[in-house]
Parts: sequence; C-alpha cells; structure tokens
Amino acid sequence: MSAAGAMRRRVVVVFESSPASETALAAAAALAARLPAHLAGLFIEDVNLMRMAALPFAHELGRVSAMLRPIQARDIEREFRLQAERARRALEAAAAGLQVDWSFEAVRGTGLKAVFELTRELDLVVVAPGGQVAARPAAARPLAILFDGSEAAWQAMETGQMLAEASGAALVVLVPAADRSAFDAARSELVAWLAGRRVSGRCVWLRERSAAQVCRAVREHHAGLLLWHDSASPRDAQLYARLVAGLPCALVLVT
Amino acid sequence: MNIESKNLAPLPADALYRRCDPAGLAFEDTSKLEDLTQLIGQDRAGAAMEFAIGIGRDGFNLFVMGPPGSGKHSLVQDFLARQPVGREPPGDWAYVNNFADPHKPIALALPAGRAAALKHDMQQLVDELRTAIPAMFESDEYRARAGQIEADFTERHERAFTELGAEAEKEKVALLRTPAGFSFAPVKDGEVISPEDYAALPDEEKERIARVIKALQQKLEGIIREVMRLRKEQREQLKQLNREMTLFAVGTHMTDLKERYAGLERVHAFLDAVQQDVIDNAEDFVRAREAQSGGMPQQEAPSFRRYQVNVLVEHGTDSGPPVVVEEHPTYQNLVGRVEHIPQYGTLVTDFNLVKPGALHRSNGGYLLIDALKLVTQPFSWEALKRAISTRQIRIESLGEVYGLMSTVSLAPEPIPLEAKVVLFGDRLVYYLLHAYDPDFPKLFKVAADFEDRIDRTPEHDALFARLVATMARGRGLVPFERDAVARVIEHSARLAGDAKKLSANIRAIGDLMSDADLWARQAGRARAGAADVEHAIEAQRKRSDRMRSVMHEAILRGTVLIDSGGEQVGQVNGLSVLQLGDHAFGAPTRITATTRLGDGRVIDVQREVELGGAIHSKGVLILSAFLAARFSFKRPHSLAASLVFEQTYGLVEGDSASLAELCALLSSLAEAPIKQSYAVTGSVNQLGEVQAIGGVNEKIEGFFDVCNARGLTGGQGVIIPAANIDDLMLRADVIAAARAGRFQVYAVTSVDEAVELLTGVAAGAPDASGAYPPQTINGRVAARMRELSVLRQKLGARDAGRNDRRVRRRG
Repeated sequence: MSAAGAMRRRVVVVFESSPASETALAAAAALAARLPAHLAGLFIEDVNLMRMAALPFAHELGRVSAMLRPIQARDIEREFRLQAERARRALEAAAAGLQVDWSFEAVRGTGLKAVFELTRELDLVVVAPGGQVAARPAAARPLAILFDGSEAAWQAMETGQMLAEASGAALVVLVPAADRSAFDAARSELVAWLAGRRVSGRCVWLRERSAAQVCRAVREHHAGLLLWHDSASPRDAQLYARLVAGLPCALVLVT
Repeated sequence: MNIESKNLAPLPADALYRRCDPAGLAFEDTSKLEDLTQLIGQDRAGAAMEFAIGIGRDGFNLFVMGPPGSGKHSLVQDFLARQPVGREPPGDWAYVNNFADPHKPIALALPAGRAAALKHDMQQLVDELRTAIPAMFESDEYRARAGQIEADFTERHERAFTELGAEAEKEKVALLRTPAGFSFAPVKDGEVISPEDYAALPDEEKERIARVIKALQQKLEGIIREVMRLRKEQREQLKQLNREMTLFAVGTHMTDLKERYAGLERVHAFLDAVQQDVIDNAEDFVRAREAQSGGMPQQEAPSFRRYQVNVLVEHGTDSGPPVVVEEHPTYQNLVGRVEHIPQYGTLVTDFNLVKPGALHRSNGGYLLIDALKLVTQPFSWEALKRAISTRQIRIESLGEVYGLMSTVSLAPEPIPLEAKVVLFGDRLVYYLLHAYDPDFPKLFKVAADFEDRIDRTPEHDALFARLVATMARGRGLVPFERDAVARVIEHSARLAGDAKKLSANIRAIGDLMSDADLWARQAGRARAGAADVEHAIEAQRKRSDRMRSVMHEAILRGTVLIDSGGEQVGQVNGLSVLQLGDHAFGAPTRITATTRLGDGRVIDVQREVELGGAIHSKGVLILSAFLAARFSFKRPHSLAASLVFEQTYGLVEGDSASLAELCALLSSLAEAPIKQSYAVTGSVNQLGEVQAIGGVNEKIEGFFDVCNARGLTGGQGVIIPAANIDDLMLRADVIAAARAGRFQVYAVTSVDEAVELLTGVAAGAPDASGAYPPQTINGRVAARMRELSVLRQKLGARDAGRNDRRVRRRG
C-alpha cells in the first residue's frame, strides 16, 4: 500500500437518482477494499426535484417514451425513499462481500453541491456516470487520470498507480497542455515516474481541460474509471455536472 | 419245398465303419498345415454369397441359413474379409450444427480419415478465436473506433440537452432530470422556486412560464425522439464495427480451412455458416474470456459446442469395406440414437449427442445380424427394412414417435445407406419370414443355404485337416497328429450320420478338439493323438449319457422288458432313437402284435391313445394295406390286429418301426416265433420293400449295449435296411464284436428277408396262381387269412338268416 492510499479516510459513493449508480458503487467498494478505507454511501435527495414536483403544473417527460405525464411531490418522495433503501441494501451487500466498513446517509441538497459540502479532505468521492455505460466490466478496462502537473495531480497519480497495480489495469494519463512541447515535457516526467513502478501507462494529449474533451478521451480509450483531482474552492459545480453527464464510467474525485 | 430260411450273411465288419486312412493325410501334425481360408463343400452357399456381394442392386441382401454350429458367422465374416478392396474405401460421416434450424443437425460426408481432421480443425479454430476475438476487441484500433462512435453519440445528444438547458436558462427555467425522465421548472438564483414563491408570482409571469415550459417540452420531446434514433444508429454502427472486426479475425482462419477442404461443398457451406454465427455472436468469445478470468461469477460461460464436429463414423484411408457384426440388434443399436443430458432439471440434447448405430458403422460395407435376435427385438426388424428400402438411415427417437417423451429431441438429417445386410438364421426362420412378411423376399433376394453335411472325399478330408489346424491355432490348442485328425474326420462322419459325408457342425468339432486338447495336456503331450480324440469322444458321450444309462439299467434289471434271447410269437425288438439336446442314443423297445377275426383293421394302440404321431400312424396303415394286398386280394380282409409299443409312455413318432411291426404281425398270423436275439429297424412300404431310416448307428449301439451287458452269444444282431449301409459309422466295440463274430448286423431289402432272419422260416414266394407254399411264413399267413375270411363269411350268413327270420315273424 502506498502512502497516498494509507492516508485516505473514506471512499464516498454518491447515490443519485441515476441508473448508473451500481457502476459507482462497484468502483467505490473495490477502491475501499484496496486502500483500505471506510465506504460511505451518500444518497442525495435533490431539493430542486422536490420543489419542481410541488409546483401545480409539474409534468415529467419520459426518458425513453417521451410521454408527458403529471408528477407530484409525493411521487418524488416515494421514489427517493425507494431508491435510498435500494442504495443502502446494495451498499451493505457490496461492503459485506468485500469485508469493508460502511455507513449510509441520505441527505437533501442540490446535486454535487451537497456532496462537496459533506465530503472532507482526503476523501475519495465516487460519482456515478451520467452517460452511456460501457458493457464491459470496469475491471478489464484502463484507468484514466487527469494530470496537470500540480501536487494534487501527483497525489492522484499515486492513488491511480495503487489501484492499477491491484487490478492489473493500465493507466491512461490525460495531459491538458496548450502546445506539443508542454505535453512532451509532462510526458517525459510521467514516463520517468512510471519507469520505477509496476504499472504500464500511456499519455494522451488534451488540448483543453474541458469536460467534453475529457469525456471524449475517456470514451476513446475505454477507461473504466476517471480519477479527477480538484483542489479549487469553491468547486465548479457546472463543470462537474457536465463531466458526470458525459462520462461512460464512474468519476473518482481525489481531494 | 425248402422252408428253411436262406442264409442271409451279416455285413462284414469293414462295412460297419468307414475309416479315414491316416496315410492319406500328408502331414505329421496340424502345425505344418496352412490356415483354411475357404469354405469346404459349401459351393452353393459360396456362390450365393459371391452373387449377393457382387450385385449392386437394391434388395440383393443376403440371408445365410443352415444348421446351428455350422460356423456360418465366422465363415461369412472370413469370406467378406477376403473380398478384394475393389472400390474406394467408405467415407466418414459427421453431424454438425444446423445454424438455421438446430433441431435438424446436418450430416456431412467426408473422404475416409477426414472427419476426425475436421473435428480437430474446428476445435483448434474455436481455441484460436477465443483468443483472437477478445484480443481484437481489446485492440487500440477497435477501441478507438468504438470510442469514436460512442463519443459522437454522446456529444450529439448532450449537445442537444445542453442547448435546450441553455435556452431554458435564458427563460429562467431549469431542465431537471427526474428518476424516469425530464422536467422543467422555473428557477431563481439557480434553484427551483418554491410553490409559495410561484403562487406569489403575477399571473402574466405564470402564463409566460407555462408557455415557455410547454414550448420547451415540445422541443425536449423532439430531442428524446432524436436521441432514440441516434442510439439506434449508434448501435447499428457498433454492430457493423463488430462484424467488420470479427470478420477480419475469423476470415483468415476460414480461408485456410476452406483450402484444406477444397472440393467439399457441404463442408464449405458449414464453414460459411460457422463464420456468420461467429460474427453474429462475437460477444460470446469476449464473455467466455471474461468468465475464464473470473469476471462473470453469476453467469454461465458461453458454450461453443455448436461449432464442434460430431464424428459419427470414421475409417482409415487404407481400410476395406467395414464388416460389422451386431450381436444385440436393438432399435437404438441398429439405427443410432439421440442421447440427452440433464440440465437444470430437464433433459436437453444437441447434435453432439447423436450416436451412431450398426447401420452407420457398416455403411459402405456389410452388416451381419442374427435374424432371430433381430425379429425378437421390438421395432428393430421394421427399422432395418425401412432403412434398406429407403436406403437411408434416419434416427428417430422411439419415445418421441410414440409420445412417451415430451423432452426436446432432434431430427438429424438422414444419411444415405450403402450397406449389404447379411442375416443369419435357421431355415425355419427364413421360410417363416418368406411366408409371412411380404417385404422379406423383396429385401433379401439371395439365400445362402449352408449344407448340413458335405461329401467325404479325399480332397475334403485334406481341407478338413486344414480346418482342424486352423481351429487348433485359433483356439490355442496343441497341434493334432495325423491319426488324431483322421479320428476327428471319422467322428465328423459319425455326426453326419453318414459314412460318406462329413458334418458341417464345426462347433461340435471344435468342442471335441478342445476336449482332446485337455486330455493331451493332462497326459503331458505336446500334440493330441488319436487316443486323446477317442478319449474326448468317450468323455463327451459319458457326460451326456445319464438318460441312456437310466434306460439301460431299467432294461437290465427287467423293469423294462426286453428279451435278447429265446423266441416269442408276435413279439419283436424294435429300435428307437431318443434325441436329448445334442445327444442322441438308441434303445430297444418291445413291439407286440395280436391278431383275430375282424373287419380288416389294424389297431395302432399308440394312435388310439393319442401317443402316436402322424408318420407312425401312416406306417401302421401301410401294414394294413400290405396285408390286404398280399393275402386278401380275392376275399374279404377279415383280420383284426393290435400293435403295441410296450412300456412306452410318451409320443412315438416316425415309421422306422414299421418293419418290426409287420414282422410281429406276420409272426402272430403265422404263429411263427421270432428270435428275440435280434432287433429290427426299418420302414416298409405297402409292397413289402424295406426303406432307409435315421439314427441307424445309435439304434444298433443301443441293442448292442443291452446284449453286451447280458453277454454276447454270437447269435445276436440287428436287422437294418440295406439302404442304410452307407450310414454305418459304429463304435469301435461294436465293430470288434462283429469282427469276432459275436454280434451281427444284417441288411435287408424286403420284409421277407427280415422275417426269414427273425423266424428262421422261409418267407415263401407265390407260385403262378399266387399261392404260397403252405409251410412258409407267407403260406401260413395266407392260410390263416383264408380261415378268418371263411369264418367271417359263415358268421355273416348266419347273421343274415337270423335277420330274415326276424323279419318274417314280424310280417
């Protein structure tokens, strides 16, 4: 176990009303088992949805059927309760299977903003993908890491290396760089860093650090997990919203 | 007039046995002889077999009939094995999956030796694809192209949602994702307004919000429909990509395989179908890889059984036509079967579980079956006929046909049948099938009828010696010396019941040789000699001699009354043969006759109590006809006679006692005593001629044993038909006694000769007027018959007078 791994206190898996939460839970449970760390489930009851459902004209358009149907606050509340219970059971089963400590909490808030308020430094936050999930299990796919040369990025690299070693996956390091020479310089550093470790990896040049570019690179390289470091305060909730919406895999936020 | 009998000479001792002269056998022992590879004296059967094998037309299958133990099976097998390989070796057959209709597996014909190769090639193909296809899906090229397709889709639909979200935001409305879809709501400071705040809004604002949301909903509906279309498009693109990449992975292998099986169109078609199925189900190979690496604990690993080749029949390239013997011709053993395996509590099957039957294995060659076994197995005979007449082997589950099983079964493609079927059986089976099954003559047009006996010629003796050599080697017996072989040949003639024939019962000869081998080994000899064969014959006789001993003892103790000396009127020793299993023995039977006035009937007591068979009754009626024709042709036949087989309690059949019965009758009529030191056998016709009978050796030996046990007097003997002289192969002790003049065998041609021997009185020949000399047997019988006739006429006249008087009194 690396030093970075030993420092992690919790792996927080975020449950939203997304069908891809199972993917996030699997990734989070595996992370918690490998670190090891406490596995904390966080179910977000979206306040905006509850308010919307309480409005007199509230309607919902089916995601698949495109049928318009009325929706009421009690529908949303009931759905939240059911989802929270399902999430708790799934978390319990996953934790029992991997023999990790766990806890579960349902909170009311607005999306990732609520998550950021509730997570602490040294937590790994695992968020379910919003995009189309790849059919193959994440374990068989490479691990993507966003790397910008910052200290937080190196921490993310250490966490990524530890996870890749445990799962046998390769690393795909996404390097945002304005030009080729900057990318080459970062790559040299990374190659030297990887040379002393038992993981294989490759560097991918991103011309900008946008959610769209990152999501595209993750898709193109079939990554099973994206490690994203962010020490900004406050965090850009919209960026995360776009990121989560476009990713085909779980997002691991390294704080 | 001479009333003494003519001196009919007994047969010389040399006539009682035809020896096989060892000097005529040009070898020291059988180890010097070559194996016999031909049929002895079975020219007719051999020609029939050659004909059946040579003719290639439908229905010319073969029925081999003949006595049991004649070695028909081994002879036919050897004969078939010796047939020159004049045609292409039969090909291989395999069943493969029918990808269009798995319920109907496809039969593939391949050149000899290629089916196993195809099976191996397909296994190797699957092994290679299990690596190649997942590797292809892991390749950078595939990932890049699949990622591109996925990214394009995501970008396009996300862009649509983002633009819609932005448009909504301008109108102070948020696009929200609900658990099952999307919704719109007015926002303030980035958060959805509460119902209270909404209620406080002016009506114009509420109307605006409602209008905006309605418009946005319509746009969202359009976007969702577009996303569905895009998703479908994306799936198609991915599918097409998978096809292209899989085709690349599988195509090279398929090209190699097709080159290897060039010219085999159906194999090519199968390979094409496999290729298409692999392309359509490429994901299975990926899942199999993941299952192998433990990635799919909850799911069953995909199976690739559908790509296997089930080799049904395979042959070597240098082998001739197969000769298959089916010892247990059940329906399934004959036409093959579809097996099932349990899976999740039910029975399932596939083409890999199709098993061949004897018809498959013999295809292109010969199938040998015992007819009786075949017809006694349910459905087998019908199945065989169906296969022959349709020239197809069709595997059908009986359970399914008769609705006994409701599980899924298969209907494998029928395989063309090109086999010659050889049935073995007794003649009775052949004639019964011929008479009662109209299909039989159409399907088995050739009968090879094995002789029960073969001519005993020097050539056949030599061949027989080689047969002995072959059997000795085949059974691991010691070699047989020349004398021993001669003794075996003599025994074979004895089994044939004819000194000029050899028995075709090879099994009995083999058993005798095994016996002789034992005695030779026990005596520490490396070769079996004539003494060992003699010992074996005697041992065999003793082993199955219990019943004969019991009867013999009963005679000697006087329980069964048989005289072997003295004279008696109307009493003669007949001879009968009892067959118990494969052992036959003879024994004397006392036959008595009584005569009196009557209406011309000879009463056969055996028939009256239903203990006489039809042939026996016929013999007795012939006697009546003989007596009437010879002695009563001018006057009414006024004799009543009774004939009895004394102390017999079972069925008496056959007419071999008719000579003895006639002699007893003549003795009774002539009141001429019969010498009880003789026994008689022979049938007689109504002219008084003596005809051949069966079992002459056993009969003579049966009476000899009784006389010998009581002490041979020199006056004892057996009277046999002259027509049976050639059948004589008597035991050595009988011949020795005959040679020493202590026991005689007489051969007669007429009842007159027999009765002269028995009574010592001349039979008498008629003069020109038809009258017999008065003191002769015939003269005395004629006188008695006249006397009875006169008496009957007198009685008839007296009765007629009484009747007239009665009539007149009444009148």
